[in-house]
Amino acid sequence: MQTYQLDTPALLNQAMQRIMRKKEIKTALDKNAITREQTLQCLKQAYRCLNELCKPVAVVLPISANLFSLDNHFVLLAGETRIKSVRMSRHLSCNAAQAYLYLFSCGYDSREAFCWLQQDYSAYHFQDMLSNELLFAIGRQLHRGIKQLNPNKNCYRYPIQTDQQSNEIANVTWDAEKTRSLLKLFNAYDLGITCNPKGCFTPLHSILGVMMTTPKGPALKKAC
Amino acid sequence: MTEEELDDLFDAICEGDRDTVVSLVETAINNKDDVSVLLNEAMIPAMGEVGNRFSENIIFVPEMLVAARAMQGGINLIEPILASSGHEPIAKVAVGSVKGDLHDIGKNLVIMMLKGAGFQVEDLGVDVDIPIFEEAVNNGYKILCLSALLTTTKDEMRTVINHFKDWKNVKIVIGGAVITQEFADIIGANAFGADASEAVKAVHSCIAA
Repeated sequence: MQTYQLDTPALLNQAMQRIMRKKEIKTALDKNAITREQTLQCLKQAYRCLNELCKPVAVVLPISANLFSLDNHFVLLAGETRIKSVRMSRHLSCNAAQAYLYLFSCGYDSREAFCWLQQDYSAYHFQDMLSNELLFAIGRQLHRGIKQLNPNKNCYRYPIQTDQQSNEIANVTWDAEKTRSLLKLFNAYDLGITCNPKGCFTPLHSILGVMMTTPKGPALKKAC
Repeated sequence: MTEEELDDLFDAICEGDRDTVVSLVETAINNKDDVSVLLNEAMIPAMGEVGNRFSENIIFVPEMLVAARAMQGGINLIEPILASSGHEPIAKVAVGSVKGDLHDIGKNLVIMMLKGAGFQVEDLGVDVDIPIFEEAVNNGYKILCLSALLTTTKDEMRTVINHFKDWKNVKIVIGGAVITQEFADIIGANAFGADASEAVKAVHSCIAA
């Protein structure tokens, strides 16, 4: 297990810089002095809110992964959760492949943010946009960390997909139950992240994912 | 308020100029102007214009947000006056993310735009179960707006619609990132809003029906 030390101010600044470059924000900032000022006001308010409330966490967990059905491309993670993934099973068939689970979060409750922002819906929306960027910044740091630990390997990420038949009403591709099952593996680390039966995390800005590293090299590349 | 000042108020909302909106509305209140004129002839049309610009991709969400914030600055001042004068809203609308769904960004955008269009809006929050919707209906909120962001929660909309199908005068509008007109038709929603601006039109269509 690796818990990442996260530099919250640096990540938040990175998120703020990124959000300022987003097309929709940039358009508002370039519009005219008033729209620019009001947009900046909202962004600064969102920044202050996150600076006050967020407590980012990130953990990476090496796990066992077994390919147990080549025909249907199923992978068994940590001995309990079955994932159907052609890509993942292909990567797993490489020698020395290592699977990881990662979990990271901005570490604050959205309801708390809404109160902090005094029920200002607009400011709350900016807070959500900034929080998304912060989440991506955490993800990038985590990904870099795994790459550093595995300098001669490729890193792949996989969606936690359902293998059930979709119906006409809900074309569900992502599996909430499997996400919950994998989240249990982090219980010992007391991160305060939960997931409801529909797959919604609390805190809302949290991500759980599966990653695999495989050795680099021409022969293995071919095999993978 | 003069025609010119009404135009200034309209423009200030469209530009998201909260300070000017507050200043103009305060002046009008101090002058004992009819605030319903401000609302109906400048503020609501301005948010309508903002919604149209958003639908036509002339502006993006951030500009819509600052406009809504400016509008709210004015609404906060005139709301108590309207309430004490017995002003009736266009309709009462309750908005919530369906059971199991904790996402609220789309729902909140719809709330802002509905308030800007002159509706009385009750924010039911997220993870809203049927008894909460029932309570809203019993309190006079006959139009329910349901939001869902996830494929895993969209089926909850059908549960709510089925629950209210025999209730008199209850209309249900649905929307969210994973919702389509086709889905709305399949589950029997009264209307569908593809985005926050369209949601306002969808609610209007429920009143007209």
